[in-house]
Amino acid sequence: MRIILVGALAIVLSAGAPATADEIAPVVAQLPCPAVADPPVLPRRRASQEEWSAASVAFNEWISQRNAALNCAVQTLAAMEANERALVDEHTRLNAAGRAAQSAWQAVQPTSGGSAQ
Amino acid sequence: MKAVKLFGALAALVVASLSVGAPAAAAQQGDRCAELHAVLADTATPADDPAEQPARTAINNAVRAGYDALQCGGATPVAGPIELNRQYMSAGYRSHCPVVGPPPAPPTGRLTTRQFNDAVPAFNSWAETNNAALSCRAAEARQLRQQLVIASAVVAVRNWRTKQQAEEAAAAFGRANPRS
Repeated sequence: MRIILVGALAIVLSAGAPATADEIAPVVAQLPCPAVADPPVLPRRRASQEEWSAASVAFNEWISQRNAALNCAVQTLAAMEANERALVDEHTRLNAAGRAAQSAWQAVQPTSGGSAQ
Repeated sequence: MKAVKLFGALAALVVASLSVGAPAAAAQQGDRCAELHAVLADTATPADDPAEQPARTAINNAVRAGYDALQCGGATPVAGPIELNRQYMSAGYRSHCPVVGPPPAPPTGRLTTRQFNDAVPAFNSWAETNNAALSCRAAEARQLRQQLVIASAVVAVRNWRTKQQAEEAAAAFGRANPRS
């Protein structure tokens, strides 16, 4: 299962959309990936140029953190998928080996009432 | 005459119920399913930009799988916190299930029934041990698949939500920036 990252959002600045009180976060937090804070707050409308610039830098930093965390999560999912595939492959191999052994034994099993033909 | 034991039918690896910890309040599991459902609805609509459609579809598929695994559409969704096994997330995870040696070789030559019956318990003993090990591996793979489905769904939700936050922020910036 693969998640395609929704594009690296090369845009400037952020409004602080309130984070949802979700039940998703505790699961995401278990992934071995950096946590991402809420996006920075949008400056007031009459903010100075300097404030807009600072907010822009903060927003782009948040985007970078967000993309890095998502990339890490996708890599973690890929590792889980590879581990699952390896387990299934090994199971298949062992199962086939067992069935082959069973067949070998059945081949030497005498027919009822007498010795092997 | 003793029979050679049948080798276990352990082929199917399917997503079953999720292994979870202590039960949580009903409202919490409702929130979890509600969030998945909301993203499902969002991503079911076509993307404005056709180039974004594959990513949107992938998110929808991942969230759908998680929604189903958590039985969110049923009367009793899976309750309690989801606990992921960190070992499953490490590259090159090695199974904790027992490793069984090779099976005993079948006897050779012309055998009487008595000779076969004397020999076959060794194989049957091995087969029982091997079947147990196979069951262990199948259970491990099943649990890993369940966790992968859930983890994929929550990552897809987080992906979608933060994308929305960024787009809303960009729109707000466009409206508020005195230079725009």
